[in-house]
Amino acid sequence: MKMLVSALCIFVVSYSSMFGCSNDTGNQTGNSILIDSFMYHYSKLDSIINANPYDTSGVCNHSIQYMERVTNLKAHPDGNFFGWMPFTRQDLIAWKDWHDKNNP
Amino acid sequence: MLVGSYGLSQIDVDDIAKFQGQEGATVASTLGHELSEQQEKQLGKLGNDNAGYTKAHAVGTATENAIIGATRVDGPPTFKTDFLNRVNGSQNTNYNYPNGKNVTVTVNVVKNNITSVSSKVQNPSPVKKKP
Repeated sequence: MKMLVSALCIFVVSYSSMFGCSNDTGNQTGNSILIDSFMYHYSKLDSIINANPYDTSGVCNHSIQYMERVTNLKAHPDGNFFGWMPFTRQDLIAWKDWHDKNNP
Repeated sequence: MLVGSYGLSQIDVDDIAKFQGQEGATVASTLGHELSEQQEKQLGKLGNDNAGYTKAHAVGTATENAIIGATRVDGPPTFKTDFLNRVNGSQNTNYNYPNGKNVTVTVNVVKNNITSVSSKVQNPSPVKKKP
């Protein structure tokens, strides 16, 4: 009987710690994915604006749409005599600021 | 703003004046480009997006081509932007004439302002007459 109670206690403690851990892991994984996605798109846009600010490729547009959706901050595109600039360096800075504030 | 801003509907006349005395891109052709681009945008009620710009810019380029009698061919983009998003660097644009003449116009820009424009003319090689 004593052994049964001990086994039961061990089971309860193990189960609750397992449950707790899996919940925490779930949250951390969700945040990690969001942070990783953000940094992925941020790096992509950072390299685009350094290489060619007139890039209007699908890859660039996809990353801008991601940033606008996640941060709720719109890009400020404009066109001039030489081409269309789909986002500005200030947009990129504003998106990064949002990220730093929301993911300390 | 560099030459003109599609979104702000503004034209930089200082930048346009830098095309004075050039072949290929001239004061008249760049001004004509910007005016017809804005006409297309405003009368056509085009949006401030890539699709609207592409349509209006094509009309602007067609006007530019009609004024100079050549076909504009944009070179690969080489401008860079600084931390305030101001354009710096130089950009080549080619203008091909029906007689085979080719003009490469180089525009030098510092902090969104054109500092100088130069044109390099390549005339077609003369056709050798058979004896």
